[in-house]
Amino acid sequence: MNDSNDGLTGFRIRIPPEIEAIPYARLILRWALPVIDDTTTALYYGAVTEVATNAIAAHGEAEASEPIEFQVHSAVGRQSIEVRDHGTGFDPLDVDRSTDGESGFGLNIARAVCPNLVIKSSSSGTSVLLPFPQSPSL
Amino acid sequence: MSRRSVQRFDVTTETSSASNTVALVLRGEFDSSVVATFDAAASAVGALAPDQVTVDLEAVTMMDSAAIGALMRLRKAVITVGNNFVLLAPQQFQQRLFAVTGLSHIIQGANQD
Repeated sequence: MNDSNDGLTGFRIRIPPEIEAIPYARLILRWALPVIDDTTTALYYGAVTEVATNAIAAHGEAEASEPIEFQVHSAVGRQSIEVRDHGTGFDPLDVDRSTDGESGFGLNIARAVCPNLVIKSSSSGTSVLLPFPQSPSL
Repeated sequence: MSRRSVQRFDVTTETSSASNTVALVLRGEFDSSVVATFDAAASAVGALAPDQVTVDLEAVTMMDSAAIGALMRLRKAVITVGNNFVLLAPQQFQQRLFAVTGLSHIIQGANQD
C-alpha cells in the first residue's frame, strides 16, 4: 500500500486491542522489514512489543474498541514503525518522573534500547515512532 | 534466529530428584501474550518444593517487560521460602535488557545482591 501523505511507501496493519494479537503483528513486520542481526532483532521488536502492549492497555483504560495500528514507513535506507492507539493519551514526562518503579517500565525499556523513538500524545490517542536500526545492536 | 522461523513459546520443566532441583527451560518469544503459560509452569514448581529453581533463557529469542516481571515474581517466591534461584540468560540481548532495567545482578555469574 502506498502512503502518499508523507512521500514514503509503506503499509499498515491493524490488530484488535488484544495482547494475543501482538505476536502476529510482529511476525508480519519482521517479514516486511530488512533482516538484521539476532540481538538487534530481539531488542527492536521487543521495543515495538512494549509500545504495542502500552497501546492495548490504553485502549482498555479508555474502553476503546478500535484497532491498534502499525504503520510501516519505508524509504531507501530509512524505515520505521509507528504504533498508534485511540486511548486518552499521557504525558511522556510523567513516565520520566515516575518513581514507583513500575509505571512506564516498558516504555523506559523501549526508550533505552531505541533512544530515537518519538512520542506524540493527545487526549485522542498516542503515536510512537520507532526508527528502524541502521546499525547492529541498536 | 531467522525472521522466517519464529518459534512458539514453550516451557519444559526438568526435575532432578538427586539434587532436588527444578529447571524451567524456556524457548521462543517470551512476551505478555504468553506470561500466563510461564506463570502456570512456575506455580507447578512450588508444589515440587525444590531446593533450587533454575530458569534457562538460552533459547528465548525475544523478551519484554512483562516477561521480566514474571521472572522477578518467581525469583521472589523462591527466595522468600529460603531456596536458591538461578537465572541463565546468556544471550547478548538478554544481558542488555537486564542491564537497562538495573537487574543484571540476578543473572547467573553476576554479583549477588
